Amino acid sequence: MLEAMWSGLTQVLSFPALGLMLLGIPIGLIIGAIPGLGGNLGLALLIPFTYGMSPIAGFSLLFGMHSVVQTGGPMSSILFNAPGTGPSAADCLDGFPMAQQGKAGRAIGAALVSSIAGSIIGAIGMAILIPFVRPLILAFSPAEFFMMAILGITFIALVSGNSLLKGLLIGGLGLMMAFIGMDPITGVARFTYGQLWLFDGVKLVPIVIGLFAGSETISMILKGGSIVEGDVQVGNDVFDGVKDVFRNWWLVLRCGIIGYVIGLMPGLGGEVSAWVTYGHAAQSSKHPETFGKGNVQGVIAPAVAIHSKEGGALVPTLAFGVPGSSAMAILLGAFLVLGLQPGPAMLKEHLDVVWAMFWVVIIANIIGAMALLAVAKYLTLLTVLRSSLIVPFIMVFVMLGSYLTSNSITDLAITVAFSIIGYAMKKFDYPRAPLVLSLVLGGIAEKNLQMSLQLWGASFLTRPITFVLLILTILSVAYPVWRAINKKNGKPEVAA
Amino acid sequence: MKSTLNRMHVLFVVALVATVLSVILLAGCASPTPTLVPPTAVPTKAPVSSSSSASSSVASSVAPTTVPPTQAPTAVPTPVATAAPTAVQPDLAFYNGKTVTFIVATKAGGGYDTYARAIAPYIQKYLPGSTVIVKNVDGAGHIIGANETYAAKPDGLTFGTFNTALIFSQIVGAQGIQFDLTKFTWIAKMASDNRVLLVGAKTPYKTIDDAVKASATKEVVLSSAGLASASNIDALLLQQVLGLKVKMIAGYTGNDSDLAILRGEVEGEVGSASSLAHFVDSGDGRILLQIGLKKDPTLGAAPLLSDIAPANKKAITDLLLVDASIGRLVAAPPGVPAERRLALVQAFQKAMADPEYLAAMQKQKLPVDPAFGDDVGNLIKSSLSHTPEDLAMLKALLGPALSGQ
Repeated sequence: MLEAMWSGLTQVLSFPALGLMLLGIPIGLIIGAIPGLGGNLGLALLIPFTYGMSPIAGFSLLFGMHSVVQTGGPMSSILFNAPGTGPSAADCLDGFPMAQQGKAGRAIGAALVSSIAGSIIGAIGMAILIPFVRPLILAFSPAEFFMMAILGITFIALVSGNSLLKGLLIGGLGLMMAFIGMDPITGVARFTYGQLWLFDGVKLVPIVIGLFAGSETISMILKGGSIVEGDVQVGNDVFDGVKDVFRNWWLVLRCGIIGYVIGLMPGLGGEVSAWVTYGHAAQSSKHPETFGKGNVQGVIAPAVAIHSKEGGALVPTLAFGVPGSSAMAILLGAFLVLGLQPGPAMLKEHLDVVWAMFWVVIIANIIGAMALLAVAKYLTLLTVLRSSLIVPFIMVFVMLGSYLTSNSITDLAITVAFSIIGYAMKKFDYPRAPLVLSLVLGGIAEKNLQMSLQLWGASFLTRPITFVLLILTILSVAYPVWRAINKKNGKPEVAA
Repeated sequence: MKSTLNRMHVLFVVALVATVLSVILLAGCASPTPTLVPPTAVPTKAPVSSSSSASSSVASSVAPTTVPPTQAPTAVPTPVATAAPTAVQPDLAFYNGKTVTFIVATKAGGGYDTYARAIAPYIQKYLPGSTVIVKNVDGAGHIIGANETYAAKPDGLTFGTFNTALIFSQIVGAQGIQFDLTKFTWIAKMASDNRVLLVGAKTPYKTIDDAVKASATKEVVLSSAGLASASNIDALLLQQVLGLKVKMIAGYTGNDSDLAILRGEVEGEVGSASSLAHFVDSGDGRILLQIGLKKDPTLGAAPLLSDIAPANKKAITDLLLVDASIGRLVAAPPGVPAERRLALVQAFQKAMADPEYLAAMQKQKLPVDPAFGDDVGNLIKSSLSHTPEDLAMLKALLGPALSGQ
């Protein structure tokens, strides 16, 4: 195995593999940073170029691009409140307030180093655990997915800011929106009013872009000034952000593992990993009320998870030939183009290719993050630009990102509508995150509930892992209530 | 909360209402109803087989092919006198310097997208001077992409690819359909992919007879992506033809069903041979039945449905065959001028015979089995014409799933 590791490394660091990786990295960063352009589009466009390449060279290009998409995503989340990729929406919650406080450099530094950390955790998980992970993957069925989604939904309480009631209201609205469209199982059209573009439900990316970035744009138009409120020096705290990640190493490790496990489960997706780790970070913090106001842990947690999730998604792809995510489904096609058949056979015969992937994921992330760190200081200057200069740019960014999702003009209308709704929510102090959380998780919860009932009836709750998750959910709801009661009674806080 | 109503509140409510109204209006305008083909124009059937010398190279895998009737295209601005039916020439000059849009009715990365992107550079090669771009228009199970293709300008610069299973949707009159499959300008189909019934290696069914017998006491549990998906429809139709009683668990999209079979949650699924091949190779699954025009040699001993199906169920068997034998359709909006249609058809013919293209597809293990022009169109038309009894039966069987009621 050590020879395979070394062989993989040397092949990755030699040409043409190295050159192709260096080519893929900026492509991935840009695709990640621009909202609406998904990594999947990049893969679909690059794969035809890999015809005829050797496997390792081809993977250097594809993985070089794919690994850094989620590195670029948090950049626009932090700077403009415009999520570059769906999962990086969680970074908007604390990243943008940090930018508004003039700490954009710190947020960017933290996000970038978290990216490296997350990809290392994910890659280690992939390379080392593949032989052992098969029973783990097979243990998770729709029942467990349902319970995980419910657990995630209870995190609404943690992202509701100062009013649980408002959070629940908005969360309920998000759940209602999650049910728009054709029921995934019975095909009954709900809330579609006969409109074809609603058949597949409301799309997440246009909504999130409008809710966060569009509303900030409106706010800046009305308020003037710049993203940073007041006259603050920016850009000198990038290294502080780097140090933050090391200071929070235990959080990084936990979020990396959670992200990896979520990545192992096909069908959950990057958004779930981002929001669940955000909720977990808030829950495990001593000051959960600071989340959403610029707590750097809120930037670190999702940034780590969205990278370790990629490592997790590789596992079922390589071990079973079953894609762990939609990007992996496309990569499976690439495997075949390059002459490889994923599955147990590949792990025996082409171990060096597997290790090469491991190295590419890590090295590409390091290079990509370093490149951005070098220019981070100049990126933060965008936050001090006058709104009259930056707002038109952001508006184009936002509209382009929304349209690029599906080449559909109705998405633009949705973005505009949600920009206004988001601004109203900001103005009247309603939290926006619960909407996204329940929108993402509602569909997953409902589909898996229906499947579980079809498969086992109501007794699915007695499945061991499901039951454990159920207890966790009850605890997750009960704990803050119990803490609040204790505080009210004036008792000293008992360490739980 | 402020209790006084100030101007900002009013402005917000007005803006919100205005936006909602404009969204609804925009939605109405964004999906235009297709302009009806004027009744005098015969659907342009450029007689492919008789006018192009490349007809002999048309690898038509469909057995029952007759030379399509040569009809003089009326109301079509060909420079040749309408009396001579075989004088249509491909208008390659038109495509020089133009942008051709290839609409794919799925998101980037799926099977249809892969086929489209694989052949696009070769179409560009055989339409000299043109630029072919692939445009993803996904949603509503290929219906949105098919609608957009149907409603596009019929100038020969737009064509699209979508799921053959839309035939079922058209039969039952599903919601949202704004096209008529019989009226499209058919260009080609790119593949055929036998459908297979796969069961897990751990299940007790060794042959299709085992499964049918066992299902009499306990239904066979099969997975599907959703009620309107091909995997579900095929399974329900199989139930009709073979008497194989099935319990369908829907919701397994993509390859989720593979893991479900490994976990033992479900016992099997109906899917395409190419997408399930890896599952058989790894020894995790076994194929009981294949549905197609001819046996796929890689699928082992599994019998063909047409060999074992009872004769009185031929209509349904044929319907299942259509899904298997017509894969990766390519069509243009109705009313494309004959010479441009011919240019497109010939471009596809040459592209699919190009050795580079074939080698690349071979490497990706993507089957290539082309048919062109009217060969495709006639198959589609025949699959849409059924006796009233069959039609009623199909509507009853598939209606609840596909019409969203």
